[in-house]
Amino acid sequence: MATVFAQITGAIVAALAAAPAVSAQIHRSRVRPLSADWTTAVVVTPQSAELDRLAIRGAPINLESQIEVVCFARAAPGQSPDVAVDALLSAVYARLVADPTLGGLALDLAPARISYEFDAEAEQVASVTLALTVRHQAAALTLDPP
Amino acid sequence: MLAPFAAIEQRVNDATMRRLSNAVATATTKFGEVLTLPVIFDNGYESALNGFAESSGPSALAQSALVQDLAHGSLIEISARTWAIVEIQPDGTGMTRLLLEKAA
Repeated sequence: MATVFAQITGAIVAALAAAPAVSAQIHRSRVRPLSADWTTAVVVTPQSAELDRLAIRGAPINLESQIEVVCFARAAPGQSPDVAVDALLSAVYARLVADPTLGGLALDLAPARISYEFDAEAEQVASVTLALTVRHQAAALTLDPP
Repeated sequence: MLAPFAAIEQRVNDATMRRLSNAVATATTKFGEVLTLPVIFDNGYESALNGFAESSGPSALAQSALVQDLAHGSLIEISARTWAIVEIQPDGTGMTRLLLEKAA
């Protein structure tokens, strides 16, 4: 069985890809560069998790997982890159907070931080990292959902 | 009359453009004049955002004397594609690299 981390990451990808998808390019833990042909993309990547060390022996343990959702956009000529990525960021945020339990898989999903990064080569580009804190549980002695 | 080394630089730059230019550019100066000039155009791979996304780094190398009236935002057409000049980098020896961005 997939760990609860993999299932939560998959649930976030599925939420973003549900019709209408927030972008034609939604990737999971992508480590290769995004194609030059893509004007927007979203990359979902698990980062880390804190385990509750005070769990009662044999009971499900509580976890807080950090997951990053990166929204990427290429600006059209004459467009500011923060404007280029704005609609995608808005759509991603709205989609994720609409179901903070991810279909019952999590106790809560909370956006924790938003950070911007810009660059310019043949066109100006922007990425916005939406850091999520997901509170959830795992069954005792496993990383399966309880 | 140019100083001896300046004259050598000028001859080298002339020869460089005569032998190595790979495109003829048409540019509009900040005064609205249209220039036609030889350039060494390069548009090789560059990554953006520290490798997060593919891109390219378009630039045109030209003789400084020919591009002194170009400015940030001036449009330059090379091989049927229009670019905007976003950086002007004179090298101090008579050549200037124009960094370009897609304009259309």
